[in-house]
Amino acid sequence: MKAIVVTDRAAGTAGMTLTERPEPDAARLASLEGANYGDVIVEVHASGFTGNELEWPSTWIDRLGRDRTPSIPGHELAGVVTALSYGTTGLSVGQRVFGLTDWTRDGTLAEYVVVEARNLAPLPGDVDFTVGASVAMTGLSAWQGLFDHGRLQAGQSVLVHGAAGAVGSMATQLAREYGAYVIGTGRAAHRQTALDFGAQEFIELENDALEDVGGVDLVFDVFGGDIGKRL
Amino acid sequence: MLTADDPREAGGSPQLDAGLGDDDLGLDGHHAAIGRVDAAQCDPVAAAWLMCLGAVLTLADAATVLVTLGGDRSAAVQDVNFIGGRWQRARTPPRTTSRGAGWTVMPQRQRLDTGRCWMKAIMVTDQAAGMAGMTLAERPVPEAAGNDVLVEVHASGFTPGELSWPSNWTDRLGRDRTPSIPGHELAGVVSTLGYGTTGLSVGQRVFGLTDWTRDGTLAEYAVVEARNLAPLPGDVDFTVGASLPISGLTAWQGLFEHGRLQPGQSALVHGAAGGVGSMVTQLAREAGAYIIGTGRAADRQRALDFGAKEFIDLDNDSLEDVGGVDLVFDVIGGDIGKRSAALVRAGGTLVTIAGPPEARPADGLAIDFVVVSDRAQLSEIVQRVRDGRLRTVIGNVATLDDAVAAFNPTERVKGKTIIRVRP
Repeated sequence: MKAIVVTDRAAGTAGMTLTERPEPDAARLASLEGANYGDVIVEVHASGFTGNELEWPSTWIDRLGRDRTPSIPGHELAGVVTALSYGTTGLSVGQRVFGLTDWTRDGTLAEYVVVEARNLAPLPGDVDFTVGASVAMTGLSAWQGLFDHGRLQAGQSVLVHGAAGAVGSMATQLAREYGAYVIGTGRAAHRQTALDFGAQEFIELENDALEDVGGVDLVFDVFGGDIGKRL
Repeated sequence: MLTADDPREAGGSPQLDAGLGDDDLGLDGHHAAIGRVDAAQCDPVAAAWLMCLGAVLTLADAATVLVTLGGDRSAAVQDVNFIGGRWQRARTPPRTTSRGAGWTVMPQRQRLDTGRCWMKAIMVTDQAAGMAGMTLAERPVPEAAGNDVLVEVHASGFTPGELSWPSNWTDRLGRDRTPSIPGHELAGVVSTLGYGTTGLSVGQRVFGLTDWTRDGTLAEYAVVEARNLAPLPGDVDFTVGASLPISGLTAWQGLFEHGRLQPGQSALVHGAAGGVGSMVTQLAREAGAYIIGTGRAADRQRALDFGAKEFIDLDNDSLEDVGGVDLVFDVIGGDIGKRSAALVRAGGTLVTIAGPPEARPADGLAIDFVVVSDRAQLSEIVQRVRDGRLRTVIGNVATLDDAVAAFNPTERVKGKTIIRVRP
């Protein structure tokens, strides 16, 4: 199958090449001889890549710390299930799905990928594959940050950094819909985008004083560094 | 744990013996020091604590310790590798993050070859040898990767059939993964969190089912994805906790996820006095189903005590006398499984863990499934244990030293064998 691979951590995205890789072995996966409990094979229709994932160790080493190059990057997908491993339930062959794959395994910039069924959700028929692949990581990051870890309540105020960006725009929309008061931040050029996503205020980080925000109930930080420190 | 007096370090940092020259390490004067430590004292929890002080403690088999200290916590960790007999700095700097409370989360880092503590573990290397091939040996303590936790194992469960499963011998890429550590049920305490892991805290009591394709739980430590574990309430013993995951989750998933059992339905439960079957019987009974259990004559009373309303002695009674049922929960397969399919009423379900069913209900579903770990289900199961609605039968409890003998008993043991790794 065709796949993007990386082999050299220092090269970054410039080191990506398009090459041929063996397809996952569906017959072995489905047989009693396979050791792929819970895995399915997905025919990838659309794939998402996270800008800095090549900086993460998971692209280069597996869970035992062993070198796993050449590795296939990209870990968001939308596609169609083509095979189930033995005893896997909950998904059917031919089902449209989307989700986030395991960072320590070969990823989704390829024609096929092996992923645990529990990482996937059905993709409704009226949602395009491209859209499905674009919401998996950003949507989950926003959701988990706001609701699982942030325990956001309606009526609370949230400072969302990078409110016009990939994760920030998701956080802004979800928080706004949930009934929070959203203050977005970012570059001046992003003001209108952030307001369109639902931010009620916008702080231009190069011009406005972050401290003017006053107190908020939740900060959703995607920047870290100095900005993160000033929270 | 650390020995004293490295003259190169100043200003209040822990003092250590110099073991290698700076040249070997290529470290600047601010980051220093190799020390010596007794490997028997190695303790991942202490290591994690030291990280809080901005130091990384890594312990090697020859009791040589590499400690890197940084004044700035964000630069505290240097990746190093032990290559060709020398410690060398790795090429790329790591990322570190911190939680709001000021605790430094274990940073992403390259694996440190030989730089780890050791632990006792049961190992298998030879598929043909089966259980007789189990040995007790020393293995490096594994490291938690992203979304993993390292668990200090207190009690461990083993499924006798697992040595015949490919997952014990190969990984998800089909590669040989021996020598491997068997056993995949655990109850213990979270020792370290992998990068980005949330939902569990260090020191929390947990239990669950680990990944069949990774090293397992018949060991002092095990690494498992956090999502496979559930909190173990303080009033539930580790031994009980380790006895629950496989039988409890299998029963729960077979009855409620795949079998869609409804109150008032009837269920035929094979092996109703056994590990999985007794859980199925109790859960189904509490859910309002009418249970017909099967097994050997000697199991009759125990099956009835677990909640079966009727019992079929498979050696003497006729299975077909059962008539029609809404659900069959099969753990036997083979001829019994085949004959059971014919007993399923239209619209009903046969669920099985005994392999692809040879016969399917004429007008119903046959679902062959492999159990998966699930935090919410584990919590439901343990809550029922706490308030007495669910009980497991624990037979033999042995230590890790006696585990090999315990799994190769001379006579049949009633109930599940649990290995108590820590007293």
